Amino acid sequence: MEFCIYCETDSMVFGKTKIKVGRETFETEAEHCKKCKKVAISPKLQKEIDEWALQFTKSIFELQPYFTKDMTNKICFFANKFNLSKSELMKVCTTFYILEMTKIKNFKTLRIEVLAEAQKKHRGDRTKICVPIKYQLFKKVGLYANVWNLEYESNVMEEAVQFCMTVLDNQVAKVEESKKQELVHFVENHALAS
Amino acid sequence: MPPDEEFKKKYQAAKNHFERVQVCIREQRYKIWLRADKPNLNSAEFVNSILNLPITHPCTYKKRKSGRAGAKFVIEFKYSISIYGATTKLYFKGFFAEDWTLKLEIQSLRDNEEV
Repeated sequence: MEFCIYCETDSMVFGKTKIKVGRETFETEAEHCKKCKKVAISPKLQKEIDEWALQFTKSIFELQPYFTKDMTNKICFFANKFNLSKSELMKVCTTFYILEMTKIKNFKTLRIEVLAEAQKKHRGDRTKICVPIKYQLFKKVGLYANVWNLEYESNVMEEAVQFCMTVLDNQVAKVEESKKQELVHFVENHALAS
Repeated sequence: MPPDEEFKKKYQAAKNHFERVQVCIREQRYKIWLRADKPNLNSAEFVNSILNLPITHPCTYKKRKSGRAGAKFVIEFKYSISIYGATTKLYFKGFFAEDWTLKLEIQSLRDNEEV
């Protein structure tokens, strides 16, 4: 047995191992630690996992964000307005938030202000919504959760939807008008294509 | 996978172990330790950002506690990356295996930790 860099013991073996990817399991032969259960992933193996995960036509991940009744009504309102399902709208908002909103100068401050405002406005019991998502989006959501220290990936969708709904509702004076328009066009274009 | 001559040249030409780490990353000769039950599928983003650091980046070395083949030391360093509007502090630990492959793990650091 070889040296494991994580637990620093001689527990590393080469053989069959299973890697959990959402609801599915990727089976392969790789180095893995018998003690700490870590698996060694090379860029080649990562590419194999990516290709395997992308071949699924079904969504292999599910996010479970929680929203207040008010926020759910708002999601329904905008989903109807753009002729999208609630899930689609939430996924579009999450994508736009991660890829575009984070590019705004002073995003860190803006994020705190907008989310505090949204939370102040939408109080009360929250109910769960299940949103199936695909691998590509899950990777982005996972990275965002990682760098912002969010406990669950679903927290990213909660944040993104709250932020975008507040922007769509024209309640964020600090977000430039051009960014608001960009979001509207992004959602409209997605509705056209879906 | 045995190292090819071109990789060997680059590896041997490196001025220090940190630059060797960068050579291994650039040449895709690394393996990252991840949890099998919840792998961080974005780890490549954290690994690739090491290429942007200067070769004088401060590192520490410690003797390996066990293991037969490969370099007898573990290399450690801290660094930070900016992505999606956030700056994250990371901790790197790795060693060079017998076949010159870099074996590594990366962990997130708490906000109050210095980099």
